[in-house]
Amino acid sequence: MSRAEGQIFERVRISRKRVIPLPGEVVVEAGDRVCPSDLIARAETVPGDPYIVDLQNELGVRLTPEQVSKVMLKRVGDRVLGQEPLARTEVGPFREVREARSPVDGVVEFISHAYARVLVREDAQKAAPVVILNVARKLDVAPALIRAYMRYREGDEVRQGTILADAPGGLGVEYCYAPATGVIERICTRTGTVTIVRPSKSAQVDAYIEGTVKEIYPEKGALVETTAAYVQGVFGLGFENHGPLRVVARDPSETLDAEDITPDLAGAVVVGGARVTLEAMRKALHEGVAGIVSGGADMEDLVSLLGRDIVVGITGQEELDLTIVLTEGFGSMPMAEDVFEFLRAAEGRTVSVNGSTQVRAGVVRPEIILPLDDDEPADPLEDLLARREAEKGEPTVGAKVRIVRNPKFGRWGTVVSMPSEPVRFETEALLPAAEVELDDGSRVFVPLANLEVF
Amino acid sequence: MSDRIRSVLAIDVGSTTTKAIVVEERDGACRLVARGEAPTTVEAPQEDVMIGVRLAAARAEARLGRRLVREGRLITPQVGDEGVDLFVCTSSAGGGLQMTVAGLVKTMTAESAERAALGAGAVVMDVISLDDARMVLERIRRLQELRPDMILMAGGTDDGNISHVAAVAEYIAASRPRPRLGGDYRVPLVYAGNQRAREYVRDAVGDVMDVYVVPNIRPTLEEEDLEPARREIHRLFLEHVMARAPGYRNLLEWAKNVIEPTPMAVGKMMQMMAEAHQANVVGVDIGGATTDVFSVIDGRFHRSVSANLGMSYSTVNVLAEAGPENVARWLPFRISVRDLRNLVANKMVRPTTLPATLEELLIEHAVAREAIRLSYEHHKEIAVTLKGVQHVGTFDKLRDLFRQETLSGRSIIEPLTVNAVIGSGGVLSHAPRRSQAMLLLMDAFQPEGVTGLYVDSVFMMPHLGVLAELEPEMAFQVFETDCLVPLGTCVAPKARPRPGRPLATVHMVMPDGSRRTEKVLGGEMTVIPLGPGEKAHLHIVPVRGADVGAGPGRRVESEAVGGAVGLVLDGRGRPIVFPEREDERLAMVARWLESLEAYPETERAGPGGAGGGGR
Repeated sequence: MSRAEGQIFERVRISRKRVIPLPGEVVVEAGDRVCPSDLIARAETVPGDPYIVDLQNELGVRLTPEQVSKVMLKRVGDRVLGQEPLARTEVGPFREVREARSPVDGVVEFISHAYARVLVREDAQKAAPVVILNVARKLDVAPALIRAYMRYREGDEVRQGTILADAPGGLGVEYCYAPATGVIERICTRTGTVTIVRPSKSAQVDAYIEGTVKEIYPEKGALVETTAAYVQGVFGLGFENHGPLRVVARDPSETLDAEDITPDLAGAVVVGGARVTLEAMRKALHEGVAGIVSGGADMEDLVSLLGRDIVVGITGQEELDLTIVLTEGFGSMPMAEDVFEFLRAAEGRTVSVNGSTQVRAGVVRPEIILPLDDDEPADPLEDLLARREAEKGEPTVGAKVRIVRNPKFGRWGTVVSMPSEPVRFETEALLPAAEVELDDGSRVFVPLANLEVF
Repeated sequence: MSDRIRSVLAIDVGSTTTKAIVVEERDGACRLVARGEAPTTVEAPQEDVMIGVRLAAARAEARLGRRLVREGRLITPQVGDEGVDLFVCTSSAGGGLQMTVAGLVKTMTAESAERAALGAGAVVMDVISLDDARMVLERIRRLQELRPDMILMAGGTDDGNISHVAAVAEYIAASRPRPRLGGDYRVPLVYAGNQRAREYVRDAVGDVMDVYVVPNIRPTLEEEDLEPARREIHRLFLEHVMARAPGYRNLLEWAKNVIEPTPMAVGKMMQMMAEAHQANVVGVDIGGATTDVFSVIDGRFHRSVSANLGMSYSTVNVLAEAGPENVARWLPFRISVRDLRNLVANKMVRPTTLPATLEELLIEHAVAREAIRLSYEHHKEIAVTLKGVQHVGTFDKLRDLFRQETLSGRSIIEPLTVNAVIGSGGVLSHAPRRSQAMLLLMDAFQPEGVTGLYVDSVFMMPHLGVLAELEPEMAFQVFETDCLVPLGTCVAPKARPRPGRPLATVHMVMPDGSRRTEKVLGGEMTVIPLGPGEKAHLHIVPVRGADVGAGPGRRVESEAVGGAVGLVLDGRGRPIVFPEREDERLAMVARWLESLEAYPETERAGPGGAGGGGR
């Protein structure tokens, strides 16, 4: 049966939905055994650019919002081919037909009646990854001279619709517009062409945990399940990672410093003690360490590592190759003995870690997942977390507790009495409190709000 | 008080705590007689607001000594010794009312729409306008991401442009807003713009949203009428948002469909107080995640929400926005930025813990000062004169010429004209000494001239605000006798002080008729005993250049209201300036704390003080 003791759940069933945001290809089948780095699904696509067609310009007439509906031949959601008419009107005494045409193959995404404009989203599947534009011909200049007229150089990013080059023309200035968003790869002075490479968006998702594929979601991904031991932290940075556990600290009160991070730790999830320094984190990044589990770290060092302040919200979205899981808090916080011993006993085994943290509204905490070798039944993790939440309450005499605020932050003890009257603290506040006997035999009063009950 | 209503159970469902109070008529007066609290149970795993509501009511019952609820049902009206005559409720749980507002011009109609939404108690997630820097697609995408409960759209004066208004409506329609609660619910759009464009708006948006038209919040550039929009938002909040949140149907039944967003109720009490005392009032409600600031200036009410400044979840934001040095400057001891950040971050991840050492209490109070200060600055930016308006009088025109403010709003909050400051929220209400709350408010708001300071004793302003909708006299009586704790009066000349040199002379006539004269000395604070219910007459003579409310160097006759702390003569100057040298700063802050006897003498040495508690 599953047991929850503090931050450790010794046996739980963990199910994770592994999906990509775009339709793509699922590369596993139900029943497959997977490792954390195994690919589950992938998609590769060039995003379609938006093109705006100004109806008033193209048709050469002023249009009221009501008239826009009358001239439009297409509606929102209609697929169109390049040069297919979007709108048509007849002008003048001879009823000259004028049309506004779609510049690309795509979908009519938006029609603004107020501004008489149509937005066509280019078909991502048909969008060519490379676009070559003959700038010399467009500007009517000698190919060898196009660099003189270009506003951009190789390596520059351009957005679709911006002026790529301009040159004096017959009636003033001739402009050449970028036909697509991308990076200028080449300006050829022999042919007078400019090559733009469009960014491709690819998406893929791996299994993250070692387990079994339980269910397939066509074109999207799969549900992966495992029976595992689960350790919950209080704060983390970085997203999913995995690697063999390497316990570098000798005891939970040690500080992990740069010299403790050696090249042989590449790819590992390193376990420290009370604190990990900024230098150790930087070296770990440099050496390719997958994750660090520590009791604590200084907030200032985490901010320096990220290069920006950490503000309220959800972490895990940082572009950080290293996952950090703090089990106790900020500062020098000796890791809880039971957590340290648990991790030490698992040394060498592959764990999955995730630093994502959200303190408020649908609490998300960083995690360490250690798959077990057997497939014995286990309660789902969500049920155990909910049960633990529901069972939280006031301690009773004899309850095992941990102090989670100064003074005596992190100390374990047992409740020996529950005063019926509030207790006066050094702050002069009168607070409901419990008398706790610590592991060294000393006794102290602690506000109930500052106790975690187990 | 009405003949019918003898007893009221009022409940506020906050984001973390549900609080119940019982108000009764006793010996001809309405008093707070019991209260109870329980954790709010809107989110998983309970997902039923009534669990927390019943528990809070049960705890109030236990203190009251008589039954209010039987078998899960509220007993109403009161019969003999059981039940209550009236039940009222406020809520900010589940994130409260989340709105997006849209207008044409960011600094005109969009801003008016934002004020209307804030005044209705909403959290404004984004303000969309035609002139904001985003491209069309970004605006549409943003609207898609946000999932508001409701959208308020303003735009155009009543005889103005229609096509731009129609364009905004088209963006909203193209985004096809989806609700965050309940898949079959259509997000309502409240349209409060150019009345000539309303059919265009209905046509554009009607397929995807339910449209409710109210009078224009900006019928001309010179006028702003927010009330019809606020009322409609509130009505839709009850009908749509509240009815779909878990367990709220039962709560709506208990409340006979009267539930208000918490901030709206708090604002109501502020307005009542301002009206009753003919005063300009500024108030703050500092919570775990957000800080709300309210003001009633010359009868005009404003509310701002600083959504990421608070005392628990968002406490690290306060440090980030204010800067660790600005928090540390309020402390009478040295602390490294590193240690300060760690202490504050530990509170963020364990938000329900409480300070048990003096050091941590002082740090929490320092963070609170900065949270309120920043929120007040933000509020002053919102509470502005209308942009696009030519100011009318000759003096105003001349001043505009020099200030070039004709086309930009200026803050209507002039600290010298603020008569009272009210503080609410756990860090203020539960401060172990009232002098801590007073000093906190004085440091954060830096009131000028003569200002009364108050604290909400147990955070029942929301309860009384919603009660005031039905029983205003009852609510106001309880507000003045049991809710509002007068701290005292602060006399603070607006001036640059020189240490030890007088800024003003204050001649006082004390309650017993005796006379007393004191000088307000630069850099110092003096407390004159003046208890609750006592008043002293003041004749204040500032030195040349110092302003106490009538202009630089001009005398002022005023009245000081007493309180838990008394009359404080604050010579620190405005704005308060800290010495550059750390040892001077430490000595100065220590003197301030001592002059108000704000903290216990011992253990104020700083980090490493004694631990544990004792009887």
